[in-house]
Amino acid sequence: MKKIAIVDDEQDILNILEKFFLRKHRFDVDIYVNPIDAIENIKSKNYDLVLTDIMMPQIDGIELLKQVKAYNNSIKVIMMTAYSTLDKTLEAEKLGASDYITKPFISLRDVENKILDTLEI
Amino acid sequence: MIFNNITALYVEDELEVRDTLSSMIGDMFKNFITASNGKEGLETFIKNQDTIDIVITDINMPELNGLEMIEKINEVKSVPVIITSAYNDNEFLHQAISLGVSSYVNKPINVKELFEELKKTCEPLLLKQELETQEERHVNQQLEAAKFTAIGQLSAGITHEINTPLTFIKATFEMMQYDIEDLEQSDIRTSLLNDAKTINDGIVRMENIITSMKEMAQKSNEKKESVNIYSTLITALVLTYNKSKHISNIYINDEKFNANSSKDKLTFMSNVQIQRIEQVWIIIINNAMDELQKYKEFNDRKLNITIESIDNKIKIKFKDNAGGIKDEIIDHVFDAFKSTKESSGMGVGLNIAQKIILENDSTIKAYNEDNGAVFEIIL
Repeated sequence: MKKIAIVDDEQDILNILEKFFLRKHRFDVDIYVNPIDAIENIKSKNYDLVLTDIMMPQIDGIELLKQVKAYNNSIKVIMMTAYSTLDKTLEAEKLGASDYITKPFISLRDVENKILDTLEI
Repeated sequence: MIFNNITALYVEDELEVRDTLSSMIGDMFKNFITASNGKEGLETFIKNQDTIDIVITDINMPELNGLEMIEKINEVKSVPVIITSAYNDNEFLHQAISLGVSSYVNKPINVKELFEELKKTCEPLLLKQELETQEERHVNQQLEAAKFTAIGQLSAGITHEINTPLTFIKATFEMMQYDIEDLEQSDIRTSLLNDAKTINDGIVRMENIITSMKEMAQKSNEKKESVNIYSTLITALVLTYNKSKHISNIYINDEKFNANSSKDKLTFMSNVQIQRIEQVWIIIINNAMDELQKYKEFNDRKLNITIESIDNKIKIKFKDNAGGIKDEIIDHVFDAFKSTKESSGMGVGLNIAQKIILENDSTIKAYNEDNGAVFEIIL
């Protein structure tokens, strides 16, 4: 089963994504509310994909993307964003992000589809 | 009300003359104050010195005559004076001139003559007031602009704060519906699913409002730089590829676009706000995809993008084959909240696109051609 890390400073959003994927038994999901903690774990846990929010207090999603890509370029990264940070999305695309998902999600199934597309499953 | 910003003091001892003139020209003024002799005139003037702009006075009056009154008034404040008098000998006129009297009207008063003199005397006052009004208006406009900026910042903040709970409310509710669907068939299950639909509609409406507000709150302080417009088109196509690849083929200058299309294949340089311009392309492409999705099958759908140089300018044309823009909205496609989409969106996308294009000293227009909509931009 593919391993996925989800990073968001909103625990409620993490919880619902985790619940959805647990129920689907589709991916092995870990959630991180602290991006610094997330980066530490990404470096030791062989994730196939990281789904990260862009606007976070400690370090933002762009920085996380840079660090993940610098550590292992083959880890796919999908950005989650509000439309108002579109400029960040463009920057993320240039830095190697595979896709982006706007908040609120079209649906959880849409999030799942984007992850499946990115992982080419 | 031609002197509608002006307050006049009219001093005349003869009641009949005073009343007649008051009723004939009084209404033209903001205020038309009267006094029945020089002494009363002076007192009235002193009491109202901040508001009286002009004095009209008779000369031959009991208590204090007109010229004596003017002399005293001059000690308080300089103000234009028109005198009305039956006599006009030299000595009197000299005296009047030395007191700085602006103008002189013969008695019995010819109203038309007085009116002309008033116009002449009041013109500088009216001009001054007009200037003050303009300045006030200018200050007000600046205040309005500052207020809008503040409201803009405030709503951007509120929008972001609402967006997060809306995200997990929507997602959690979606989960809840999956749970309900898993329940055994029952009246309660049916009822819950019906209620869920109502809640969903509400969530979608709130989401549309928030999305519109987010789009409107976009900042535009990005600096202009010289960029290859062709590259910005490819960037926008890459960013929308996840959506477009399921909907329609896209051609750019007759070449089919795919995720590996080179950004530097062609060069069309222009000085623009790069990210804002990319946003315009994304809005137009997304709009075209939404329209195409309603139309025929994948293989019949097409979005054709052309870019070419014309007279030192760059012309970009997006043309789809989704049936064209409806007649009733074609003149309003760039107006906010006039959605071209049947249900989704609040229709601010194209309004924002137009705003960005105008900010970049460019033009955008929409028209129908060969069973499709065209958006044409000249940079």
